[in-house]
Amino acid sequence: MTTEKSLIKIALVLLWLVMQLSHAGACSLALHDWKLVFFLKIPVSSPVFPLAELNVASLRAKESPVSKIIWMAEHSLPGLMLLQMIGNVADKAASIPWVPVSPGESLLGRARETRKDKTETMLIGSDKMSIKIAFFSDKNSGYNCHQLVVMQNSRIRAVQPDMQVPWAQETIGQSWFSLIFFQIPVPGRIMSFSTYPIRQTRHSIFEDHPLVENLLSKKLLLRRPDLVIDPYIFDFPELPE
Amino acid sequence: MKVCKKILHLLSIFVFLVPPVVVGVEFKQVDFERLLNKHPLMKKFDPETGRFNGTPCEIIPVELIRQRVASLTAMIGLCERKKSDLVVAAMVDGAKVDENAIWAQIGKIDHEISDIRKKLDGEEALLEQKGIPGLETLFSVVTGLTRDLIDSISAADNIVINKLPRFRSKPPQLAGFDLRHFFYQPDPQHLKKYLEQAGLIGLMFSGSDNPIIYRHTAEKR
Repeated sequence: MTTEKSLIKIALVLLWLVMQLSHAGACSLALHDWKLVFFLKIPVSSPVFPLAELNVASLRAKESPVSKIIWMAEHSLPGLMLLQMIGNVADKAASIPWVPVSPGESLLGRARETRKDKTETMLIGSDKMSIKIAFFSDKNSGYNCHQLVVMQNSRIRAVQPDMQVPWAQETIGQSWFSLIFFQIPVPGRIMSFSTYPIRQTRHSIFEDHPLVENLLSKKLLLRRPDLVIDPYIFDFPELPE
Repeated sequence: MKVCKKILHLLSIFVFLVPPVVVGVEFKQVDFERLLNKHPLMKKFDPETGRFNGTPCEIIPVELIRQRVASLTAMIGLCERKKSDLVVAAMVDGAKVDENAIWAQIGKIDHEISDIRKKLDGEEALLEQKGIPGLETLFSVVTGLTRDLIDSISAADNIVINKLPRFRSKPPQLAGFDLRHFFYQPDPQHLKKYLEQAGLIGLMFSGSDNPIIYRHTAEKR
């Protein structure tokens, strides 16, 4: 019950951020040297950010028609809320009806039953979940610029038992959001808020270009030289296992 | 007389031993061109393209990339068919199948697919660039090559001086076009020609005529 309350709080904070922050283009003007300051890994029983699940469904829907998704997991209200919320802005796969069910029976067993309906149903199972919380500080800014990363890892198994082209997949799903801010995480100091994966890529929900330009001009951030390419795919170093 | 002989003997030791110690510790003179030509990577250098064969900067014919893309796509198709057969078996045989074993096989195949897809993404990106890898790949190879040369000749805090200038004459005019024009006339056409000849960029700079001096500690930063 306590975990459920915590998850609801996280979802509400996410909802608030999404509502507060306006959409803007990508920005990579500053060159960061992120140093890991704090790291915490928490095993969780239910998915909080089902973005990786959404990504699996989205990729499959590109290859083959999907009319319904049966999602087998220990569900939580925040996960379901976020799925609905993203559905309105992010991905076509989120607009497909998702039916949350508890993971009582095996995924393949459920797929055998579904196959009899002769529908284009897809089954997704999420388990072995954990949440990683990492806090980075930027050496290039004299440790004044910080990044908070919250990442969810889960094992995702998916089946589409269509008898013409039956399909299955097992992947390690990864979803995260990142908040980059200067000194304190309050409006006016937040430089960017982004999430992954939305349509198979990192999605920038908010970026404050004037703030970044201002900090660069005052030499509080290090300007990225044109020829320097960020070595990190996600703009932060790989998190520990 | 004996004392005089001893003094001369000591002096001769000083003459033979001291100069190499004094000079050798401070400076080292090398022929970078000779070292460069001796480096194994230079055997892979193609003067026509200005790239190194067998390295990520090599220019690959578009037709060859298309063949690779087709081959990798076929490999993914084969893997997908294997998974499809596993699902069919699980659907038909029902309770007889070991679901954990099936998922283990599916997971293994998905891992293979993931590796193939990474290669495929790389080939498709190269195809979009018409087989010409970005200049950053060339910079990376050349940086490694330069580091190899400097590491091989420098020791402690020595200063290494190039023996002879690399280029003693004016930069050649490539295809009847002096590349330096770009600096005086920022015309897109000049830029295009400049980029076409980017592999020979070193020839553009008159600074190439000067001896190159490296300080070991500075390079190690």
